Amino acid sequence: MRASLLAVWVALAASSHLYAQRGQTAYVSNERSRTISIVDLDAARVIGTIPVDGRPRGIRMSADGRQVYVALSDDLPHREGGQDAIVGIDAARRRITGRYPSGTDPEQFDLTRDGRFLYAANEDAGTASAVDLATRKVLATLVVGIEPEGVAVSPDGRRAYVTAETSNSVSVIDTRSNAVVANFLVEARPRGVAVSPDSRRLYVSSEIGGTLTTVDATSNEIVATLRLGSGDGKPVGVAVAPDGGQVFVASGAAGTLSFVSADGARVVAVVKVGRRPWGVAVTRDGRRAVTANGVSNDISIVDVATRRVVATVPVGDGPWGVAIR
Amino acid sequence: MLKAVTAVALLGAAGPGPVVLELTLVLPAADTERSRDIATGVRFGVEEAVHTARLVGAEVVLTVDRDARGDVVLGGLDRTTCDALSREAARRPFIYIALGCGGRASDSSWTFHLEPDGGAESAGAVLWHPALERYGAGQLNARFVERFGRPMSAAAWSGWMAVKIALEAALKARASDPRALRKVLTAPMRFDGHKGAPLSFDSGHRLAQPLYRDGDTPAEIRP
Repeated sequence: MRASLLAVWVALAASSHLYAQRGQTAYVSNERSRTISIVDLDAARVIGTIPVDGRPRGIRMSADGRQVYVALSDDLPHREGGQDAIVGIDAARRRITGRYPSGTDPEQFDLTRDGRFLYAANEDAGTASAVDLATRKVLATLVVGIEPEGVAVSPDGRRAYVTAETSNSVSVIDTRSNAVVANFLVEARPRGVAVSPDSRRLYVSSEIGGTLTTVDATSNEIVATLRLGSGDGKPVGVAVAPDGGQVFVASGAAGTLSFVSADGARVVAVVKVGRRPWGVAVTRDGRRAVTANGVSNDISIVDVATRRVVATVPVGDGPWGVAIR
Repeated sequence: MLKAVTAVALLGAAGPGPVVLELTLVLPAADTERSRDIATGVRFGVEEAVHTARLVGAEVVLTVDRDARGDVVLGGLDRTTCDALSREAARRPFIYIALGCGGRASDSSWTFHLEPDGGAESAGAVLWHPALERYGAGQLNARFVERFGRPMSAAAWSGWMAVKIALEAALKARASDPRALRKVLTAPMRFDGHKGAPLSFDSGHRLAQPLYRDGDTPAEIRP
């Protein structure tokens, strides 16, 4: 028994190692052209395009790198229509293989690391949904703040966090009971949210506040509120380095990517990227950050060590989010 | 004769006890479309404030009162009412957010125009439009239509926004007494009016905010 468990562990470790080593690929949701661009980050070129039947925005990669999940919405804002869904795309076959319930106008969501559950913000309904990916059933619909937006599941899988733009709030969901266990307030119009790899810190961008708020995830106490630049950059997308050493914030209107210290207390560097960077993701090796630039219709690939844009790759029309395999 | 509606929200907050925010809306007795819109916007704002207050573990009480009492007053609209509020502010300490009272800011008042404040740039401009979609305006317009069955006018938006400002100031101050609110409102504070840019009061206590050019598809006027 022990020998077979060891064999499984070795196989998983080897597969994980190969996965980390192979060329890294970015998947970019283009909300106006209704496509997903697949970008080889080493070659800095688009290697494929997947058309989708709706307006794609939120995009996430499963932990095993096999599935790309994309939030699609239709042309009927504020009403649930036939195209409102979160779809799963087989990353190897580049084909939609699953469709999951989402509520109206799905925008942001996140997955548990074990790939079993999805948490989505239902902006118009003022709720968050927990979805079982195997059965494609909504397990719970939870009342959160007004106009929920950003979603992040902690790497330990115990908590899901949902920001709400009108309430200026963050709701904390216990993923075992699927209940809201806490709410707290941040600066005006919170958008993006990300959790540190050890699940101990939470980072929340506030678009109108022009800030990044750092929260102790154990106590839900705010430990730092950092004004980014002059505050007119409208920070949106947030990502944390795989080692937890720094945080990356896409500041849409300013056209910049801010590097912030892990304690959330200071801006380490500001890198000029494309126009209106919205989504941001970091490669698994932590060497590159990628921004989806909604107005310049490209992505910026930023070398984290040198803090320089090493490539700009044109993608579809209206790049919104980015996920990395 | 003033018409007053009072909304009380008990706001959960850190400290010895919950913060109690009492809002009093003072409008002219004359029943006009604009006064009805402001009252509806305030009602909508209070409902959303109630939701936000509940998130932080509080109970909420809503009352109606014919008297213009309380520490935080929203209102104005015509000269008589604005003058009455101004006299009241000279008599006792309270905070009022003056809706459509022109530029009569004082230590107690924070002015809030109901229409663009003159000037060539603002000709044909509006503060809000029910066809706005960007910056979350579409979501706000949709919520209003779903709740009241009609479009959100600039007056309704102003009423909603005035409540939001009072609520967020009280939450920031963790108190609702005039001194605490004055301190918070005097410091640079950013409010989200679903216009894509921070709204804030200038040194004269006037709310600075983006405008839109009226039309089927309202266009943003850059400040």
